Amino acid sequence: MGQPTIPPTPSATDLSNKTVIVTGGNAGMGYEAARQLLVLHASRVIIAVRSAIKGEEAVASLKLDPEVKKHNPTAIIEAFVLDLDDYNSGLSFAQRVKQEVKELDILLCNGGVNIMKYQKSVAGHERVMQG
Amino acid sequence: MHKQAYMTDTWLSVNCYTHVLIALELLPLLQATSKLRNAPTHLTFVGSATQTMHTLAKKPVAASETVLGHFDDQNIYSGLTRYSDSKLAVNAYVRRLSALVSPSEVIVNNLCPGLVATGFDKQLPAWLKPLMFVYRKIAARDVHEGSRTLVYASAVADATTHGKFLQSNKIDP
Repeated sequence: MGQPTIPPTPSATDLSNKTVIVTGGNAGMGYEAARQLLVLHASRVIIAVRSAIKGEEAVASLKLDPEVKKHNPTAIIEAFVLDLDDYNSGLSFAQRVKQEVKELDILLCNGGVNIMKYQKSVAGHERVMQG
Repeated sequence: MHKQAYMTDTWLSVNCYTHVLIALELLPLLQATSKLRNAPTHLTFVGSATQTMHTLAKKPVAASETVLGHFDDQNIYSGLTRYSDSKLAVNAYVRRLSALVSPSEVIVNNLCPGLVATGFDKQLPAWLKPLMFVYRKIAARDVHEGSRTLVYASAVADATTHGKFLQSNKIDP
């Protein structure tokens, strides 16, 4: 399958003074999207992650990224815990955002799984649909 | 909130899973920020072109069941196509929500990043892993390129993408 090449993000894109949340932001495309949004000068980026430890590791890695250090050294980068398997975790996450985040410019819902066996989420639904 | 509060039919009729819950909870914040900026904010979902392989044509939701009940039913479950069903639900939700929110406030869209080389296959069964490994090696965008589609939809895309599904940064007609 021939996929067209994705052009570079327009250079005029500037997210100065903007706040972004990326779910599933500790790995894969979520991590990389968070990194690119930081390079575009987003002033605050919050990655939503299942594991607090992995979240802190990803935050440390984003802060050390050479491009982020060069283009956006003062960015606030944080990890909030969110387990997409669980409505209660979703509600706690939303509550925390409402308390600690006064402005939100981008909510990027990226987190997801693909599994082949039927599993139930914490909330009691089939797991792939849950996220 | 008690789980039972969600088990009613009103907003289940699309799907009421965790991303939907978060999006609804944070929509007022996105709207308020838009007023502050005098410009729209973005609510973007990662969808997938594989939604066309959904199962609802072959196994429609019966009048006697709920949408969630249907997708929780182990008897109709198919591991290979469930991902497609979940991404169809995402697109359906984006369309529905876009009708309720003005694109001058919040641009609601979803996109397919294409086939991208990430660790996403780690939970696949052993027989499928080598196939996907070769497929991604040959055909996939790398993660930098793939992620630019997320950045485009969430930070660049304008109101024309409201309620739409994007592929390779273009609105899928």
